[in-house]
Amino acid sequence: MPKTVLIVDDSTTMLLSLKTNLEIHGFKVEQASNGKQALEKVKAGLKPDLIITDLNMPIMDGLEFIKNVRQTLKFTPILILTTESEQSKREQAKKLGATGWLVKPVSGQDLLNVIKKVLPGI
Amino acid sequence: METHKSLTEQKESLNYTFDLLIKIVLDTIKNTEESVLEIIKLLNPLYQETLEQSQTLKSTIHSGKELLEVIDKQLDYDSQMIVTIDSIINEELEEIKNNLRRMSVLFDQANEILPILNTIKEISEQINILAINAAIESARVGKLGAGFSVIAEEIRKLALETEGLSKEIRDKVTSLNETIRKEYEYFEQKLKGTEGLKIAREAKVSTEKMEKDFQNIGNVIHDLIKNVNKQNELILNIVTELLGKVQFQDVVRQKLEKVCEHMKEIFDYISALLDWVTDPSEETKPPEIKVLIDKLYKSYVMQSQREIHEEVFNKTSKGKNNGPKIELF
Repeated sequence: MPKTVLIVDDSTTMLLSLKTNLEIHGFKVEQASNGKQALEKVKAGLKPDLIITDLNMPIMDGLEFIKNVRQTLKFTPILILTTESEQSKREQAKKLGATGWLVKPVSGQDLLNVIKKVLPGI
Repeated sequence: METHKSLTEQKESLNYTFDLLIKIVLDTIKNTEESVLEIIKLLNPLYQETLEQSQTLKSTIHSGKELLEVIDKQLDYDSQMIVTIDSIINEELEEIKNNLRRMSVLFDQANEILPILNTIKEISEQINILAINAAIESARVGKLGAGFSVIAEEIRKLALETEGLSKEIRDKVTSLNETIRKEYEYFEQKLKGTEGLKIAREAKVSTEKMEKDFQNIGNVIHDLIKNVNKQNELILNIVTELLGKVQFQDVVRQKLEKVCEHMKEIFDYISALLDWVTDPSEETKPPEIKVLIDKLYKSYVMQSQREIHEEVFNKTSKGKNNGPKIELF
């Protein structure tokens, strides 16, 4: 049974590159172009094994999304993949329940290594 | 009044110029995005092709292994069978040789009887002659020799009978010898005819060679599969890395969008400045340009944006700790 990853990003290139990379390595991928859309998918019953989200997005940003999604998915690992380097935002994300922080661009292999750490047994 | 009109026109032209620059930048973003999406779409079939090749190879490996296992079992069975045939033929060969030795001895023993029979025949002939002579001599002495004459006749009959028996034995021995000779020739011929054994031995050598050939083929297939798998793994790694590298487009997009945002802010500032210069009594004086520059600095999200800004404005970094590029909490 493949693990499901929900990717949230407003960039079309990010969504497609992440989706392709994850699918190549055996994951099932669900995608959303902002926090609100992702939250709706979760509310509709989606239970991903992992969430990878951008931070700076229109409509609902990454921090707001984490805050909301944690009410439903308390233990699902959430990785933030962003260009944002502000330490205060990193601290905020940590407090809201994010699992890790990755600054774009991240090599495909580095991303997979992090996923292996937060999703044991894959 | 003329100056006012001229400045308004200048402001409008400046507005168009800024709009133009922003459109060019946004168009560039769109172009990079389209190109990167094309690249990703090209990478996907490359990977799919590799994946299909890997799956075909996996299936080939499986079938190849099964085939080699079957061949191995067959070769093992053939080898055992040849050893068994070899053993049976050797046993039979030894049996034939033993039979031949026994027949030879029997033949020799039978032949040794013939001179004895000759001697018996000669003795019988002599006894016969002696019996005839004894009968003649007994007849000559008349009545006195009558009893002796009967004995002589009996001896002569015995001699003739012995000769007859001797002949009969000779005939039987001769017949037996003929039979032994024929049997001997038959087994000798059979001994020479060990072609089956030769063929079996050749088949064994041939089978062993075939086994080695199959093993070599198996090794070649194994190496080939190993190399193709290695190449596929390499392609997969390259595709994975390229899919990571294309994230540069998102970084570039965000940087250029920030440039557009700042250009708009700068135009608004210049516009306010021109309005104030045109009519200082009516228009509010814009804040110092430093205020705007600090505002722009605060709006950055990337460390590289801040670093460039600091370099241009000779600004000392506040030594912010941006944390590691990858961090697990």
